[in-house]
Amino acid sequence: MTGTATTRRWAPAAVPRRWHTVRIRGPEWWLWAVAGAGWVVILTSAVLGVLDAPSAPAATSGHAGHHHTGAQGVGLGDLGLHSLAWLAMVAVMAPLIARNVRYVAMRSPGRDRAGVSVDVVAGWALAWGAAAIVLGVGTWLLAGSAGELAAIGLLTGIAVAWQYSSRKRLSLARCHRVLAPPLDRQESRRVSRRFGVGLGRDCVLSCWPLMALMAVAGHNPLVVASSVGVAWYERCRRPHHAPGTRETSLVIAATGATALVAAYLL
Amino acid sequence: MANVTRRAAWRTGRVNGWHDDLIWFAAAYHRMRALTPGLDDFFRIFREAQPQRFPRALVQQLVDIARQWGDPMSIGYQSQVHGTFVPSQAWPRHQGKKALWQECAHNHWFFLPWHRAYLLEFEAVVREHIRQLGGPADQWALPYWNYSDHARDRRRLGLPLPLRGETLPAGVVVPGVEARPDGKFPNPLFNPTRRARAAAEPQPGEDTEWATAAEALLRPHYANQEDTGFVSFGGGVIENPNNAALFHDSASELGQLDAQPHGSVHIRVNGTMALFEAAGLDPVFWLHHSNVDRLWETYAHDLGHGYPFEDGEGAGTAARKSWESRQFRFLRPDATTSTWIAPQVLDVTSLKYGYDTTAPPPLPATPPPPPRGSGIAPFGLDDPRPDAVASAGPLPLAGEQDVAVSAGGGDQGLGVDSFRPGARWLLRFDGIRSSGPAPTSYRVFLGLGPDEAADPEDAAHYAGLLSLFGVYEASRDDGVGSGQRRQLDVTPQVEAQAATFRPLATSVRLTPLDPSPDLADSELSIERIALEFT
Repeated sequence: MTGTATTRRWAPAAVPRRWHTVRIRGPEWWLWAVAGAGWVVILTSAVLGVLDAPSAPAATSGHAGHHHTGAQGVGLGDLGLHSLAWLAMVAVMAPLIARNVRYVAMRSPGRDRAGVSVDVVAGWALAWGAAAIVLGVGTWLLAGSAGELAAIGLLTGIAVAWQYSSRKRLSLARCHRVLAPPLDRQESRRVSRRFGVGLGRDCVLSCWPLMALMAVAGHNPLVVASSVGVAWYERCRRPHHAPGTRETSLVIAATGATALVAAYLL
Repeated sequence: MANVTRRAAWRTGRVNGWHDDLIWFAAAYHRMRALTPGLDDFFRIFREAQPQRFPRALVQQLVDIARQWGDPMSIGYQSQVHGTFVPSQAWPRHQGKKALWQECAHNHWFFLPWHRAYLLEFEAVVREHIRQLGGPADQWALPYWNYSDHARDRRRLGLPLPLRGETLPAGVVVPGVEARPDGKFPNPLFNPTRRARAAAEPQPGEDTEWATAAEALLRPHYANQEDTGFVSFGGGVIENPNNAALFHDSASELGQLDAQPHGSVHIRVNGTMALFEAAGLDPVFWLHHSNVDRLWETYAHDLGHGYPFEDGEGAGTAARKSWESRQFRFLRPDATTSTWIAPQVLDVTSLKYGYDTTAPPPLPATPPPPPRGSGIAPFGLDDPRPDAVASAGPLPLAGEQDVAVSAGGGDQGLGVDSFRPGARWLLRFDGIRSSGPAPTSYRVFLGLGPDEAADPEDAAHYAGLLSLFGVYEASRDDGVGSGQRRQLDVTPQVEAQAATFRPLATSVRLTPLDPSPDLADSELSIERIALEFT
């Protein structure tokens, strides 16, 4: 084989000359775009007032002033909107796995980096998708049977208590996991998807009460922003297996209180 | 305080090695131990826990002892600044201020500046004890263990003599140390958990790689941008100084000095030295880090690499902002908090200390550092990302073994000339895990045939040392669980074997530096070994 031919085959991926711009163009950059799209959906729906707390057909809203009654039920339109809102909530969390994605991509041959990045995120999203169905139905039933205010209060309590659990600590620590995949392309993509599912599982186990609280609060942007802030704080603090229970539980309690006030007033 | 000089522990003078600086260090250490409740029990439980791979019940007993160590004047407190088993919500308070523990920096470019600040804070505490004993506090400086100068005297591979015996030798008086009932005087610098071999006299032909700093001192850069194909002297750049998880857990590049000799000495001495959470309890920890700090001076001054950004390079970059803004915080005995940043610890003259010598150990002839202003010194900044071409794993690591590293497809007969001329080659180890502290480091050989002998003097095949300090901590259930990673620059080995080397079908041989411990006990494994090029 000639040197020319193999040089072409094995040439390292070209990178921008200016080193401090590389991070922006790394294999994980698009997760920030995904998060941006999620925020657009959440903010737009809040401004337009098209989203509300989920409520089951036989339920009342939980307070007299609420316009969304159980008698309205959940039509296909509602279902679509709530699915979109769940998608947006997961999307705004996507940058939390940027470092994991980057690591897997950078341990892969240049030609495969984009592919394995997508695979890790697809696996992660799959886990979140399954969780969204369970949590979506669960919050819908809860809000329907107990009322929106009670559901927010209950889920705030659960979210605070969850911060103190050993399961939370373990899952949070595992959110930092990374992988060096095999070099074989097909095997690499399979392993990356599986890794993504595992990563998603740990993220779900770490953050499910926050997601449920966001859902039952009608995807209120303040609640979403606060929950994302808690998740980032946990992700960037140390030790990585300690969720900073006192600080985070206070913020979660304040978030729940905000959600209660908003639900009562709106 | 006057300028002080840190001096070699192994030096001429007292035959038994008990120079004045070590006597006063021992005197202060004795007081610091007395302020550390339950320390003897801690050592006893530690010795029990280590062979059992630290079961939860025994770790809890260690936690229950360590959570009492709230006095910054104690060795217990000072050791936990480096790492602790105690969960943060149970950290003690000192005069109303919560302890600042588990602050240590490894695996990145703050490794050296953080430890320099740590040594300065520790030295101040020792001086205060010496002052209270009426000793020469203002003239005292921490000695260093000059193991990396072993080419001049092989005895330096052994622990300095004052750290070895359980009792003081005849004629040595350490202020404040009283006789035991048997009439002998306990040696405050003795640690009962160390591996016996570390304290023994070095034998002829004994391995020396664990103590060697040449590989580190020959690195062209102090630090590298994340995910480049270089191996740097000091470790990978962290661009986000506020991400504490990066600072403490999961940055991407371990500097060569951090790995060897720093990590390999920790593993060599073993016992409490083998764990972040207990290393500072061993007096040799401080002498070891004093030498690591001295090697930084050697690299910056004697070898001409300077310090990061000292010539104004990198203005406006995220890296420079990070270097200048990351704070190192320490709680002092007077309950105030001292705060350092990396640029404050670069000029040792202004910090009022120095070393008796910073002359490098014998090094092969090397090109001078890259010129300033060339756009790359002191960093490897503009490099392309490495590309993996062959890999192996996952594999267990329980003794010597040959590992086939291959592409698994393609034309495995491709030679080095099929790749870009002047390519740099890297051997990367990902997901190194263990279920207990690693008992030894491993030698790594590249491209040895099955019948060829492994010889660390064989520069064409010997690629370096796989140092495993910190692997256990990164593998535990309460940790990330992904283990650690290492990388070795194997460009010289690939070039030396250029005529026969096949990058897509080669081999790596791993041989334990010390085959005597039961290597299977710690259940070491490697997720992937990859050969990469840029």
